[in-house]
Amino acid sequence: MTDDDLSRLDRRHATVLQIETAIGIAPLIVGAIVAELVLGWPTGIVIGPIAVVALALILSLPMRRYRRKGYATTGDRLRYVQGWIRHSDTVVPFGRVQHIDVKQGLIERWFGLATLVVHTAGMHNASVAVPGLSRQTAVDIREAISARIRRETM
Amino acid sequence: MITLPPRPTAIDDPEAFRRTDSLSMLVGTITQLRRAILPVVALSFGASTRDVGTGIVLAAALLAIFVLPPLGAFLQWHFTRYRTGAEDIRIERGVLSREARSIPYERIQDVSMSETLFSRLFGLVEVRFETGSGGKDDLTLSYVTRPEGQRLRDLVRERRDDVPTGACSGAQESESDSEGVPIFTMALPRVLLSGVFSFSLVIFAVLFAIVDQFDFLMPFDIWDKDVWEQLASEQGARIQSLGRLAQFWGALVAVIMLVLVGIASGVAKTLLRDYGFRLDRTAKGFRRRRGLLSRTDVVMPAHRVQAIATETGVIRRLFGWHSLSFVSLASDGAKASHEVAPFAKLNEIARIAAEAGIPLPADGIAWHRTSPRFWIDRAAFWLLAGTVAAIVATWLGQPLSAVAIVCVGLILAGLSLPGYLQHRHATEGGRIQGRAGLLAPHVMIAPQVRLQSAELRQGPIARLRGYAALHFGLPGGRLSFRGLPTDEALALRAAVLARIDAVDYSDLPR
Repeated sequence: MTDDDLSRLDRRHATVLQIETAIGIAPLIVGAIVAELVLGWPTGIVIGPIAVVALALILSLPMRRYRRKGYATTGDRLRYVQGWIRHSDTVVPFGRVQHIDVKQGLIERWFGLATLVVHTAGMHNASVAVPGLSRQTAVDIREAISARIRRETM
Repeated sequence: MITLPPRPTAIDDPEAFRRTDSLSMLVGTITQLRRAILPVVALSFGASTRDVGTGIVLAAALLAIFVLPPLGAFLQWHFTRYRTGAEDIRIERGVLSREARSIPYERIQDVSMSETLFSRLFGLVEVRFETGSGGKDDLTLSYVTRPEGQRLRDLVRERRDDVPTGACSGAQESESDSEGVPIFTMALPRVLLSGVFSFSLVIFAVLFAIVDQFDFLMPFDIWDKDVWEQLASEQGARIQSLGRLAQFWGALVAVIMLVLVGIASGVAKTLLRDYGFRLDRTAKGFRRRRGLLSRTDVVMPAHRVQAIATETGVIRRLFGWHSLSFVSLASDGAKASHEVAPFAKLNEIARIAAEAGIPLPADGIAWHRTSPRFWIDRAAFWLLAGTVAAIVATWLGQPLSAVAIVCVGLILAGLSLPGYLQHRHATEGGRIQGRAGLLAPHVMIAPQVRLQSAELRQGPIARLRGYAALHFGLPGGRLSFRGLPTDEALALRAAVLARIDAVDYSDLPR
């Protein structure tokens, strides 16, 4: 099993991550604006640097995170790889899946994306979430896992 | 009681999406109303202490009572729909974030129905589909009519009965499962001996807690420092007048008393718990009976045993005593695993383990150690952290703290050596074995086919230095290996996954 088997998540997932990062950073920018207004400093002296940092974060960090993520469904196994500092590489055999969720957050819905969550009986990795799949892909994987579970227990 | 005409969809096509009963909006409204009461009270109270316009408060209260609960209940009802398909039950819910959940019939352990006071008034039930995920992620449908709940339950049972039967819920088996063959019993002397080894000073904690609860009954205030100082000075003067020898004997007697109390409380605790311990091998699994005052009778189907674990203590190991427990999805009181032999010789344990189909590791088994680099890096980390903290402390003018910090850092770094020595693992005949502990080793043995998932974790340093952590998903237990050499971790994972592919055991906890 090498990293070559991994497929990238949907391209739009990077945009979703950027929007989420932007929402996370928003309080900082608001804080900067308020600070500048309250202290009466010249416009841009605080907002400027912070905006530059925020923009850099929003543009680069989510892209890096996106590139580190990958998934594979070959060989009747679901594999999900993510992260660099906290790199994890998780494999769940289809035959071990208890039940399956296809979730769509608000932002994901705008972009037609979904998060696939498979639940296992284990205490560790009781649920494994694969974000950033197109809704159709998520549903297809769900059907594949369902079919496999059905086939095995027959 | 209001009777509504039957909704046509339910009859025409049983596989079509349908909504929960419309009356559940009413129940939902009442439930949400109850939740709204406290905030409304708090709001009006808060408003009365400040000068907020009465009109605004009134509007907010009206909104919270008459508009939000019905609206919320309606949205919840309108956006929740479910479908019973040929292979699974689908439930979709959520207004803004949608969630579509699918549960294959094979994975549903049981269907339970519960009623609240209000749902009962309208003849509605909440249906809960229990899966193996331990209650947290169970799927619930609230609310449907009782006949519909019954239909869902029958449907699930019917679909599941296509699958080989014979393994039903463990709790109900105890009556029908007749006497088996005893494979492990503990006679009274053994129970008492086991009590001696479970030396415990917890009695002092209990006494202290009782004193704390009832301190108003005491003739003095136990939290008052002066009382103790006075006591110490009075008694201290007496002790000093006694002479060396008497002081020594006094101290010895005190220590012996402490030990005796510890042993006595250990024996009492063990006697209460393990009196008449008996483990039977029955047709379907194991049955354990024990207890003096409250006797417990637990049945564990053999196919539910996910892994076994042996433990021992430093002293009791010298005498050859170990304990054995089964790891399973069902929980044993507060403990996650079932104790099946609390105090036994290794040959007895080996027999029980063999009965469970998970034999103990063979004598000549090749144990693998973890990567030394992992422990070196850990030691280096603590040394570095200790040094940095010490420098900061010195800079702040706290040389004494700096010394203490350095000591702590050295100790934490030094722990790497026993850490390296005590962690071992091995695979043998489709089983994976982890062992930790030097003087009192505990061993966990899990058949590879029982594992549910495998995760490899690595930080940047671990990647650079070539080691990784491997976590396996085990129902009811934890099986993790830290600091494995990367190639070994990858090989182990590949081996386990290959075994899992061969057999499907995921419907085991039934």
